[in-house]
Amino acid sequence: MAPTRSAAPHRVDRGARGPAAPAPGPAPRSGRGVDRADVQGIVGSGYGRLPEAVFLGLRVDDGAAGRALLAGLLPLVTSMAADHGTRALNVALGHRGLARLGLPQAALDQFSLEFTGGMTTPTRSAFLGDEGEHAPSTWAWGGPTNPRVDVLLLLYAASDVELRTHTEAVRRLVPADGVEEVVTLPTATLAQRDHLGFADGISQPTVAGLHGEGADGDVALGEFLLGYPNAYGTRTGRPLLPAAADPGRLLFPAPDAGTPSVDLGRNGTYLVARTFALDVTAFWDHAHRWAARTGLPAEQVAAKMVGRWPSGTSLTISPDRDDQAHPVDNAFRYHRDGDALGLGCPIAAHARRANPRDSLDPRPGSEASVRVNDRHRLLRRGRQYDVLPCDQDAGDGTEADAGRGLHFLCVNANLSRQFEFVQHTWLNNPAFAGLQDSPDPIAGAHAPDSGVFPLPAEPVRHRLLDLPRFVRVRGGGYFFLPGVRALHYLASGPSADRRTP
Amino acid sequence: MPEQSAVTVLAPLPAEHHDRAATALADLAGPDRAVPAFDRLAGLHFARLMLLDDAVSPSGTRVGPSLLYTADLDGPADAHLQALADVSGPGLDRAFSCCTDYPTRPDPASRTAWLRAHRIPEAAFYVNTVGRGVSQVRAEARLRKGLEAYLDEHRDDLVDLPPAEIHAVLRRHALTDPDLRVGVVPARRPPLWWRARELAHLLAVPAVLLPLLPVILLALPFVAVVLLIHELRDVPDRQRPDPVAVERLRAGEDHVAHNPFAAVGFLKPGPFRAALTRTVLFAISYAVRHVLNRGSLAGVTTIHFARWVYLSPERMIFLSSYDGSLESYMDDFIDKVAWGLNAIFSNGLGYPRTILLLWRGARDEEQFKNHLRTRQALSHVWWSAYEDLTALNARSNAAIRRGLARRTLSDDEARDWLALL
Ligand code: HEM
Repeated sequence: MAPTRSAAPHRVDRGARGPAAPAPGPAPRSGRGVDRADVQGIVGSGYGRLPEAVFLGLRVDDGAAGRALLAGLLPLVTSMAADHGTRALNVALGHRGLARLGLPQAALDQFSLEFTGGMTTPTRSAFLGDEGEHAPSTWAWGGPTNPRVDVLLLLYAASDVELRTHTEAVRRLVPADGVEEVVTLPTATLAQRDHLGFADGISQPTVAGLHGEGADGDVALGEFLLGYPNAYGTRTGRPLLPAAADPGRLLFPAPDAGTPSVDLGRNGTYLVARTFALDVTAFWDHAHRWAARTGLPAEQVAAKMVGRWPSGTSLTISPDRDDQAHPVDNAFRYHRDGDALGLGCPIAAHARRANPRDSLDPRPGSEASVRVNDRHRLLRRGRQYDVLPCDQDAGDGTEADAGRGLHFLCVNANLSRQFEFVQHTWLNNPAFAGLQDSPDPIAGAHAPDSGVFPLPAEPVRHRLLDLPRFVRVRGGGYFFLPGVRALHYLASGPSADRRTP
Repeated sequence: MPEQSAVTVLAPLPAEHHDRAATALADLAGPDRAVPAFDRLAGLHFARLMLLDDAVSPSGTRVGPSLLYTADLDGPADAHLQALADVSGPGLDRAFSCCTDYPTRPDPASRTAWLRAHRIPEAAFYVNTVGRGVSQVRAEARLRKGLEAYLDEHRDDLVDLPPAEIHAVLRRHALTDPDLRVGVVPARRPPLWWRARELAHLLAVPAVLLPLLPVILLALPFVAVVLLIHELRDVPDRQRPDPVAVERLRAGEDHVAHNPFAAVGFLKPGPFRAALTRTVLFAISYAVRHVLNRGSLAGVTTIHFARWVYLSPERMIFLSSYDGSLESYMDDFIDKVAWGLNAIFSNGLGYPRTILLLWRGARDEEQFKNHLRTRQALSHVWWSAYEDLTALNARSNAAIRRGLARRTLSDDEARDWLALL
């Protein structure tokens, strides 16, 4: 059932207990399908119809104020069921933020280790490749020297004016004390092409139960929403609370717990945020330099690195030219469709390594290969930006590239097996799929001007040497994107029997 | 072409010296990395030193801490012990001097004697590609680099030639370059006596077992029932790994192309599990010796070496060197050889519940990953002879050499061969 909407958001007294926005009724005790009113809209779509967006990072210093904020925001939160209209708002929370909001330690400890530890622990930074000038200590937001982001608000609107009104309405809900907006991340108007000149966001996994009824070959719902069977048929670990901690029965019961429990994770998931500054000039310089050396058109060299033509046309389906007329194809597979060697789309290309489809063991070209591949999928929800206002490091703004980039957002239920695996094992790994010394040319971590990009050709391949790093990591964080009921629960604050000692 | 051997040396450590030994190993992994001079030991692929913490067995006995040295190497194990005692003397002394019976005034002879006395057998030993020695791996890596560089320089002159001719040009080039010349001759095949011995073993085992087959078949249903009863009573681990311990393990991972893995655990108590474990290990060791010896451990192509060792009749350690991250390693396990893992590791205490030895178990993704992380032991000192090569790299480099070593290729063969570069 849908959370009731109150006509006007109202402010809540600090320290108030109990739900502020009219809470949804008791959760159904059983239910098989997805309750779309309980899933935040960003899981279901990237709000393509709302071209304007801004992301706000808030720090919560006082739990009651934080809960008051959540309670105020609730009527504005967009669920998948309510994904229409000219505005949208989604709410994600950091681990420290959840603690501030009063979630007991026992519940906090049940989140995944990646989320609990955060994106910026030293071993994780090394793993993701966030070192040197990409290290969190240099970041514009989300790093150890930046203000902590406990709450990440994603605001979308149909127009610039609308976004401004929307933002003002949301800001009015921020309590004067105890919560502070510490980061503002404006985005560029949604466009056909990204800064590099390529169509982005084309290929997304089809998820059983999110998109239609679920067909053969769809990715399991539990890969993107907690509380449902994942690709292994089990439910990914998530915070389960003793049933007594939820007297209002806001939350769904957890079917897989030993003792009667409710599921704080259900219909929630993890949101990965990474801010990448893009050196567009360096990218095209490199493409032109190697176009001259190889005799290929620069656009083709660039497309080979990206893994699709600028319009989005697949290199596997159309190896020699961009085909704007042809509808963008996403049903292809690399081995099955005759591109095992990468003569169309190189093995090392960004899109091919971010989703190798049927390229890898077991038995490339087989359904088994796709099944194993599909345990590492991401729903991408990023937006481009033209400026990163919080960036002290972006130069004086005179050079063409000062500030441009991508706020990469993606949704997944298992940070370790999905986002981190893709970043480390597929993108950064110089030995991906048997390659040597070849990190992802776009999004792979490597020392600048080292690494090669092999461009398969018959009878002798090209190799693009001295790969620069076009992308610089400028910020990021792991967030929990709760279900709507869980947001209500968190807003309602610790009740007597679940208060932290 | 050398055959590969394993060395495992286990030495009990007096509990009061635990911290001293830990410090010594930390130094050998850090500022004093060069002291053991592993790089001066010919034919050494991987070496590691680790400190195993004390533990309490399921029967309640206390097992004290111990120090472990392991090596994957070319040629006979004893020759390695002697070379180690000589070349790596200072490193050995630093690591093992806390052990009670370590020679007080160590010299190569006394160290060798001590190492021999503490050597323990491997219950099974997996080698990615039997016969491919360190010098071959390195030479073939150089060969590939050299050929790639030549192609970078001369592509324009070559593209219009037929593929077979390009192969010939590369062959001629390799002949002129002393670094690449090895590539024009094939890697040596194993000596005849070795092949004969392997063949004899391959045949002898089934020959001995064949007469027992009726008995085995008759017994199988009973074994299955007993196994099911045991499995029903098993208590899988529920706990999640301690975040601090995970951080410590992670700090030692993902610095080069491959990683060391080590997991220590007690077997489930009772004679049934003890016998089952022996049987499965026997099967594994036969399989890895004769079948799974060419680049793939039942579908997993990222493992360089692996071994199972009894630390005591009730405690085992599994050690491997594998490519990529632990997450990808565990995913490979689950996706490709869950049954094989179950067969052996489900005899360990706390393993996720299996059904008839082969089913479920590792397919319980999260429980399995938590189990491995909780049983994982730190490989304090770890050394690799080819830090930036994965097993797949070594394999494709070997394929490049095999092609180059052929005097002529047809155009089709040459086209396939050129795709390796
Ligand atoms: C600034 C950095 C990045 C840029 C400019 C970029 C750009 C692109 C482009 C142009 C495509 C092809 C169009 C499409 O299929 O949607 C693509 C695909 C993709 N990217 Fe990225 N990307 C970046 C970073 C990342 C990162 C960090 C990840 C994951 C960790 C990632 C994951 C993916 C995935 C999963 C696909 C879809 C591949 C497929 O399903 O065929 N990207 N990216």
